[in-house]
Amino acid sequence: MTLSSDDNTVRLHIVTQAANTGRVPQAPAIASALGRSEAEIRASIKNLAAEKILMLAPNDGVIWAAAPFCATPSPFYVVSNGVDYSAICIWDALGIPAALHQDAVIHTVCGDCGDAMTVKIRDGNLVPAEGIIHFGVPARNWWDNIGFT
Amino acid sequence: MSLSQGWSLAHEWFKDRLNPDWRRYTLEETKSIFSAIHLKGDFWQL
Repeated sequence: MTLSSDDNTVRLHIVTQAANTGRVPQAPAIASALGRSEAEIRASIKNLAAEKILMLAPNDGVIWAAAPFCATPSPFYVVSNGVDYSAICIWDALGIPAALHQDAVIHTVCGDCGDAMTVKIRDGNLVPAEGIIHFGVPARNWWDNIGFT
Repeated sequence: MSLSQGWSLAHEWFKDRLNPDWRRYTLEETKSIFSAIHLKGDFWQL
């Protein structure tokens, strides 16, 4: 899969802004930053969603996630280098320090018992901690409903 | 999977996400990643 230059520019802007600020930009801000029309940006967003690079909220098409960064508050709260991030799931939460190449602390709760859990990444390594990661959907079916997954 | 496997997976998956030349992994590349992290069995088949 090769993205068009325009689509990749939009992709890179989104993830770079999210990395720098903890906030996933939406179409109007992206259009303003890149000097393009909102219609062009929305077309790129749609293309990126079709390529499973962005996840869009159902109904209104706003960007829900530009993995590993989530646009909305979630049970996976990541702090890295003084910036607060949100992730859709633990895979993405771990993906934030991976993408940033920085230390991070992930605050979440156990999906089974609700107890608070903290996961730390330091110097590129997972700080030993107890816990497992549970996937409820087989890999081949993840994109049947990525939101549910 | 263990947290350690999760970190290995996330690290491989996202390490280049901010790179201008990043692209999605192919199906075969994804299978190789899963295998390298010992994610095997029917559940992990793509």
